[in-house]
Amino acid sequence: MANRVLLGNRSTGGYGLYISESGENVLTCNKSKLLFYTDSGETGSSFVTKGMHQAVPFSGGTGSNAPVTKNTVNLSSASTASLSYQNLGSNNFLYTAKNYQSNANTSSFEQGANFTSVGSTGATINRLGTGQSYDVVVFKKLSSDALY
Amino acid sequence: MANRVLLGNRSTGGYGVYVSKANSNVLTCDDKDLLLSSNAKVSGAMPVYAGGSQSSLSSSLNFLTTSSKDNLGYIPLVIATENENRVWNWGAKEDGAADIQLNQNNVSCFTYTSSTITPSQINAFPANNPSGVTDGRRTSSSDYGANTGGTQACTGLEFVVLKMPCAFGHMSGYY
Repeated sequence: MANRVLLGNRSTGGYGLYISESGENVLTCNKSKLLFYTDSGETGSSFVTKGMHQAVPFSGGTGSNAPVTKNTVNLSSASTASLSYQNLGSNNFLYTAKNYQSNANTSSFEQGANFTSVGSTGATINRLGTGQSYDVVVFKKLSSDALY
Repeated sequence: MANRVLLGNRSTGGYGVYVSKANSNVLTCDDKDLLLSSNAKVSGAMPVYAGGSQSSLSSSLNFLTTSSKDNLGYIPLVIATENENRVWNWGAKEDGAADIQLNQNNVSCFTYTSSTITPSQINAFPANNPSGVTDGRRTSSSDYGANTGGTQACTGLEFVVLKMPCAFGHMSGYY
Protein backbone atom coordinates (compact mmCIF):
# COMPACT_ATOMS: atom_id res chain seq x y z
CA MET A 1 0.00 0.00 0.00
CA ALA A 2 1.31 3.42 -0.88
CA ASN A 3 2.38 5.96 1.73
CA ARG A 4 -0.63 8.26 2.05
CA VAL A 5 0.16 10.68 4.90
CA LEU A 6 3.33 12.66 5.55
CA LEU A 7 3.90 14.98 8.48
CA GLY A 8 7.40 16.23 7.92
CA ASN A 9 9.86 17.30 5.23
CA ARG A 10 8.80 16.45 1.67
CA SER A 11 11.40 16.59 -1.06
CA THR A 12 9.08 18.81 -3.07
CA GLY A 13 7.32 21.27 -0.80
CA GLY A 14 9.37 21.21 2.40
CA TYR A 15 7.97 20.86 5.90
CA GLY A 16 4.23 20.43 6.20
CA LEU A 17 1.35 18.03 6.25
CA TYR A 18 0.60 16.08 3.05
CA ILE A 19 -2.10 13.57 2.15
CA SER A 20 -2.08 11.84 -1.23
CA GLU A 21 -4.78 10.23 -3.32
CA SER A 22 -5.37 6.52 -3.00
CA GLY A 23 -2.57 4.59 -4.69
CA GLU A 24 -0.22 7.58 -4.78
CA ASN A 25 3.02 7.72 -2.77
CA VAL A 26 2.83 10.91 -0.74
CA LEU A 27 6.62 11.12 -0.61
CA THR A 28 7.20 11.32 -4.33
CA CYS A 29 3.94 11.89 -6.18
CA ASN A 30 3.15 14.95 -8.27
CA LYS A 31 1.40 17.74 -6.39
CA SER A 32 -1.64 17.19 -8.54
CA LYS A 33 -2.07 13.87 -6.74
CA LEU A 34 -2.18 15.44 -3.29
CA LEU A 35 -5.56 15.73 -1.61
CA PHE A 36 -4.22 18.11 1.00
CA TYR A 37 -1.10 20.18 1.28
CA THR A 38 -0.25 22.95 3.73
CA ASP A 39 0.39 26.09 1.80
CA SER A 40 3.98 27.14 1.28
CA GLY A 41 3.31 30.11 -0.94
CA GLU A 42 3.27 27.91 -3.99
CA THR A 43 2.71 29.28 -7.45
CA GLY A 44 2.25 27.86 -10.90
CA SER A 45 0.28 25.00 -12.30
CA SER A 46 1.11 22.70 -9.39
CA PHE A 47 -1.01 24.77 -7.04
CA VAL A 48 -2.95 22.45 -4.74
CA THR A 49 -4.67 24.37 -1.98
CA LYS A 50 -4.42 27.62 -0.09
CA GLY A 51 -5.44 26.39 3.33
CA MET A 52 -8.48 25.18 5.20
CA HIS A 53 -11.93 26.70 5.35
CA GLN A 54 -12.57 27.64 8.95
CA ALA A 55 -15.37 29.07 11.01
CA VAL A 56 -14.53 31.52 13.77
CA PRO A 57 -16.37 30.71 17.02
CA PHE A 58 -18.31 33.34 18.89
CA SER A 59 -17.39 31.51 22.08
CA GLY A 60 -15.90 28.21 23.21
CA GLY A 61 -13.60 26.13 21.05
CA THR A 62 -10.95 25.54 23.71
CA GLY A 63 -10.58 23.02 26.50
CA SER A 64 -13.82 21.15 27.08
CA ASN A 65 -15.99 23.92 25.67
CA ALA A 66 -17.58 23.19 22.32
CA PRO A 67 -17.32 26.05 19.81
CA VAL A 68 -20.39 28.18 19.19
CA THR A 69 -20.19 29.14 15.53
CA LYS A 70 -23.70 30.50 14.98
CA ASN A 71 -25.09 33.65 16.50
CA THR A 72 -28.73 34.66 16.15
CA VAL A 73 -29.11 38.42 16.05
CA ASN A 74 -32.48 40.07 16.56
CA LEU A 75 -32.90 43.12 14.34
CA SER A 76 -36.66 43.29 14.60
CA SER A 77 -36.50 46.80 15.99
CA ALA A 78 -32.87 47.91 16.06
CA SER A 79 -31.21 48.86 12.78
CA THR A 80 -27.73 47.71 13.76
CA ALA A 81 -26.08 45.43 16.31
CA SER A 82 -22.52 44.74 17.39
CA LEU A 83 -21.07 41.26 17.08
CA SER A 84 -18.12 39.89 19.04
CA TYR A 85 -16.19 36.74 18.22
CA GLN A 86 -12.89 35.15 19.06
CA ASN A 87 -9.60 36.43 17.70
CA LEU A 88 -8.33 34.03 15.05
CA GLY A 89 -6.69 36.78 13.03
CA SER A 90 -7.76 39.87 11.17
CA ASN A 91 -9.05 38.39 7.91
CA ASN A 92 -12.70 37.50 8.40
CA PHE A 93 -15.93 37.73 6.51
CA LEU A 94 -19.43 37.29 7.85
CA TYR A 95 -22.27 35.38 6.29
CA THR A 96 -25.98 35.30 6.92
CA ALA A 97 -28.75 33.51 5.10
CA LYS A 98 -32.41 33.38 5.89
CA ASN A 99 -35.69 32.41 4.41
CA TYR A 100 -36.79 35.92 3.80
CA GLN A 101 -40.38 36.99 3.72
CA SER A 102 -42.08 37.24 0.37
CA ASN A 103 -44.54 40.05 0.54
CA ALA A 104 -45.22 42.12 -2.54
CA ASN A 105 -47.71 44.76 -1.59
CA THR A 106 -48.47 48.12 -3.08
CA SER A 107 -44.97 49.49 -2.52
CA SER A 108 -41.40 48.34 -2.62
CA PHE A 109 -40.31 45.93 0.08
CA GLU A 110 -36.88 44.74 1.11
CA GLN A 111 -35.45 42.63 3.88
CA GLY A 112 -31.92 41.51 4.60
CA ALA A 113 -28.66 42.36 6.34
CA ASN A 114 -25.04 43.15 5.58
CA PHE A 115 -21.89 43.84 7.58
CA THR A 116 -19.47 46.71 8.17
CA SER A 117 -16.45 47.42 10.40
CA VAL A 118 -15.30 43.80 10.16
CA GLY A 119 -12.28 43.28 12.41
CA SER A 120 -10.38 40.52 14.18
CA THR A 121 -12.79 40.38 17.13
CA GLY A 122 -16.01 42.05 16.02
CA ALA A 123 -18.22 43.58 13.34
CA THR A 124 -21.47 45.46 12.87
CA ILE A 125 -24.53 43.91 11.30
CA ASN A 126 -26.82 46.33 9.49
CA ARG A 127 -30.48 45.73 8.82
CA LEU A 128 -31.77 46.26 5.29
CA GLY A 129 -35.45 47.09 5.18
CA THR A 130 -37.93 45.20 7.32
CA GLY A 131 -36.50 43.68 10.47
CA GLN A 132 -36.25 40.09 11.63
CA SER A 133 -33.69 37.80 13.29
CA TYR A 134 -30.57 36.70 11.42
CA ASP A 135 -28.30 33.71 11.89
CA VAL A 136 -24.67 34.78 11.46
CA VAL A 137 -21.52 32.74 10.85
CA VAL A 138 -17.97 34.13 10.70
CA PHE A 139 -15.56 32.60 8.19
CA LYS A 140 -11.82 33.04 7.91
CA LYS A 141 -10.35 34.60 4.83
CA LEU A 142 -6.89 33.37 4.00
CA SER A 143 -5.65 36.73 2.84
CA SER A 144 -6.70 40.35 2.57
CA ASP A 145 -5.71 40.38 -1.11
CA ALA A 146 -8.28 41.13 -3.81
CA LEU A 147 -7.58 37.64 -5.15
CA TYR A 148 -5.71 34.86 -3.42
CA MET B 1 13.53 28.80 9.12
CA ALA B 2 10.75 28.62 11.69
CA ASN B 3 9.55 25.33 13.19
CA ARG B 4 6.45 24.51 11.15
CA VAL B 5 5.29 21.08 12.32
CA LEU B 6 4.85 19.72 15.84
CA LEU B 7 3.72 16.25 16.81
CA GLY B 8 3.84 16.36 20.57
CA ASN B 9 3.19 18.55 23.61
CA ARG B 10 2.63 22.22 22.76
CA SER B 11 2.87 24.68 25.64
CA THR B 12 -0.51 26.09 24.61
CA GLY B 13 -2.81 23.29 23.58
CA GLY B 14 -1.12 20.18 24.96
CA TYR B 15 -0.45 16.99 23.02
CA GLY B 16 -1.52 16.96 19.39
CA VAL B 17 -0.60 17.67 15.78
CA TYR B 18 0.14 21.27 14.86
CA VAL B 19 1.20 22.99 11.63
CA SER B 20 1.95 26.69 11.62
CA LYS B 21 1.84 29.26 8.85
CA ALA B 22 5.06 30.07 7.02
CA ASN B 23 7.54 31.97 9.24
CA SER B 24 5.54 31.28 12.42
CA ASN B 25 7.14 29.11 15.11
CA VAL B 26 4.72 26.27 15.74
CA LEU B 27 6.05 25.91 19.29
CA THR B 28 5.19 29.41 20.45
CA CYS B 29 2.96 31.17 17.91
CA ASP B 30 -0.59 32.33 18.60
CA ASP B 31 -3.42 29.96 17.73
CA LYS B 32 -4.41 32.29 14.90
CA ASP B 33 -1.10 31.50 13.18
CA LEU B 34 -1.77 27.76 13.08
CA LEU B 35 -2.90 26.19 9.81
CA LEU B 36 -3.80 22.99 11.63
CA SER B 37 -4.36 22.19 15.28
CA SER B 38 -5.75 18.86 16.42
CA ASN B 39 -6.62 20.54 19.72
CA ALA B 40 -8.88 23.16 18.15
CA LYS B 41 -12.52 22.24 18.17
CA VAL B 42 -13.16 24.48 15.20
CA SER B 43 -13.87 22.45 12.11
CA GLY B 44 -11.70 23.05 9.09
CA ALA B 45 -12.34 20.14 6.81
CA MET B 46 -12.67 21.83 3.45
CA PRO B 47 -9.61 23.01 1.51
CA VAL B 48 -9.77 26.53 0.14
CA TYR B 49 -8.54 26.71 -3.44
CA ALA B 50 -8.97 30.44 -4.00
CA GLY B 51 -10.84 33.46 -2.74
CA GLY B 52 -10.99 37.19 -2.81
CA SER B 53 -12.36 40.55 -1.75
CA GLN B 54 -13.84 42.98 -4.28
CA SER B 55 -15.21 46.42 -3.43
CA SER B 56 -17.49 46.00 -6.42
CA LEU B 57 -18.01 43.53 -9.25
CA SER B 58 -20.06 44.08 -12.37
CA SER B 59 -18.82 41.31 -14.69
CA SER B 60 -17.10 37.95 -14.62
CA LEU B 61 -14.11 37.56 -12.31
CA ASN B 62 -11.61 34.80 -12.99
CA PHE B 63 -10.61 33.40 -9.61
CA LEU B 64 -7.85 31.24 -11.12
CA THR B 65 -5.63 34.08 -12.25
CA THR B 66 -3.70 34.46 -9.00
CA SER B 67 -0.77 32.03 -8.95
CA SER B 68 -2.04 30.73 -12.31
CA LYS B 69 -4.05 28.01 -10.66
CA ASP B 70 -5.15 25.00 -12.66
CA ASN B 71 -8.80 24.67 -13.55
CA LEU B 72 -10.25 22.08 -11.17
CA GLY B 73 -12.23 20.48 -13.94
CA TYR B 74 -15.54 21.01 -12.18
CA ILE B 75 -17.65 23.88 -10.89
CA PRO B 76 -16.53 24.32 -7.29
CA LEU B 77 -18.63 25.32 -4.32
CA VAL B 78 -18.20 29.06 -3.75
CA ILE B 79 -19.37 30.75 -0.57
CA ALA B 80 -20.02 34.42 -1.29
CA THR B 81 -21.46 37.33 0.62
CA GLU B 82 -22.02 40.96 -0.35
CA ASN B 83 -23.87 44.07 0.67
CA GLU B 84 -26.95 43.21 -1.40
CA ASN B 85 -27.85 40.31 0.84
CA ARG B 86 -31.59 40.90 0.86
CA VAL B 87 -34.94 40.07 -0.59
CA TRP B 88 -36.52 42.57 -2.93
CA ASN B 89 -40.21 42.70 -3.75
CA TRP B 90 -42.25 45.30 -5.49
CA GLY B 91 -45.90 45.44 -6.27
CA ALA B 92 -48.50 47.77 -7.68
CA LYS B 93 -52.24 47.70 -7.63
CA GLU B 94 -53.91 49.68 -10.36
CA ASP B 95 -57.65 50.27 -10.50
CA GLY B 96 -59.11 48.37 -13.39
CA ALA B 97 -55.83 46.66 -14.20
CA ALA B 98 -54.04 43.52 -13.16
CA ASP B 99 -51.83 43.59 -10.11
CA ILE B 100 -48.10 43.59 -10.73
CA GLN B 101 -45.93 41.76 -8.27
CA LEU B 102 -42.18 41.28 -8.66
CA ASN B 103 -40.34 39.01 -6.25
CA GLN B 104 -36.68 38.14 -5.76
CA ASN B 105 -36.11 35.90 -2.78
CA ASN B 106 -32.48 37.00 -2.65
CA VAL B 107 -30.86 39.74 -4.70
CA SER B 108 -27.42 38.28 -3.93
CA CYS B 109 -27.33 35.89 -6.87
CA PHE B 110 -24.30 34.67 -8.84
CA THR B 111 -23.53 32.37 -11.70
CA TYR B 112 -20.44 30.20 -11.57
CA THR B 113 -18.23 28.32 -13.97
CA SER B 114 -15.15 26.28 -13.18
CA SER B 115 -13.13 29.50 -13.31
CA THR B 116 -15.41 32.50 -12.79
CA ILE B 117 -17.92 34.16 -10.51
CA THR B 118 -20.42 36.60 -12.06
CA PRO B 119 -23.11 38.73 -10.40
CA SER B 120 -26.47 37.76 -11.83
CA GLN B 121 -30.15 38.40 -11.46
CA ILE B 122 -33.47 36.65 -11.66
CA ASN B 123 -35.79 38.61 -13.85
CA ALA B 124 -38.87 38.57 -11.71
CA PHE B 125 -41.44 39.41 -14.34
CA PRO B 126 -42.22 36.15 -16.19
CA ALA B 127 -42.30 37.72 -19.64
CA ASN B 128 -38.75 38.94 -19.05
CA ASN B 129 -37.55 35.65 -17.71
CA PRO B 130 -37.24 33.24 -20.63
CA SER B 131 -33.77 32.08 -19.60
CA GLY B 132 -34.18 32.00 -15.83
CA VAL B 133 -31.06 33.57 -14.37
CA THR B 134 -29.14 36.07 -16.46
CA ASP B 135 -25.78 37.74 -15.90
CA GLY B 136 -25.79 41.31 -14.61
CA ARG B 137 -27.73 43.16 -11.97
CA ARG B 138 -30.64 45.54 -11.99
CA THR B 139 -29.83 49.22 -12.06
CA SER B 140 -31.95 51.75 -10.25
CA SER B 141 -34.35 52.03 -13.16
CA SER B 142 -33.74 48.98 -15.35
CA ASP B 143 -36.41 46.59 -16.49
CA TYR B 144 -39.41 48.05 -14.77
CA GLY B 145 -38.73 51.76 -14.61
CA ALA B 146 -37.99 54.09 -11.74
CA ASN B 147 -39.40 53.71 -8.24
CA THR B 148 -39.30 49.93 -8.38
CA GLY B 149 -36.35 49.57 -6.02
CA GLY B 150 -32.85 50.96 -6.09
CA THR B 151 -29.71 49.61 -7.70
CA GLN B 152 -28.78 46.02 -7.03
CA ALA B 153 -25.11 46.37 -8.00
CA CYS B 154 -22.77 43.90 -6.32
CA THR B 155 -20.57 45.67 -3.74
CA GLY B 156 -18.55 44.53 -0.75
CA LEU B 157 -18.05 41.06 -2.19
CA GLU B 158 -16.20 38.40 -0.19
CA PHE B 159 -15.87 34.83 -1.40
CA VAL B 160 -13.98 31.59 -0.97
CA VAL B 161 -13.66 28.84 -3.55
CA LEU B 162 -13.71 25.40 -1.98
CA LYS B 163 -12.38 22.18 -3.48
CA MET B 164 -15.85 20.69 -3.49
CA PRO B 165 -17.58 19.89 -6.79
CA CYS B 166 -21.06 21.19 -7.44
CA ALA B 167 -23.56 20.14 -10.05
CA PHE B 168 -22.40 16.53 -9.97
CA GLY B 169 -23.34 14.89 -13.23
CA HIS B 170 -23.12 18.23 -15.02
CA MET B 171 -19.38 18.74 -14.97
CA SER B 172 -19.28 20.45 -18.34
CA GLY B 173 -20.08 24.09 -18.83
CA TYR B 174 -23.69 23.34 -19.72
CA TYR B 175 -26.81 22.59 -17.71
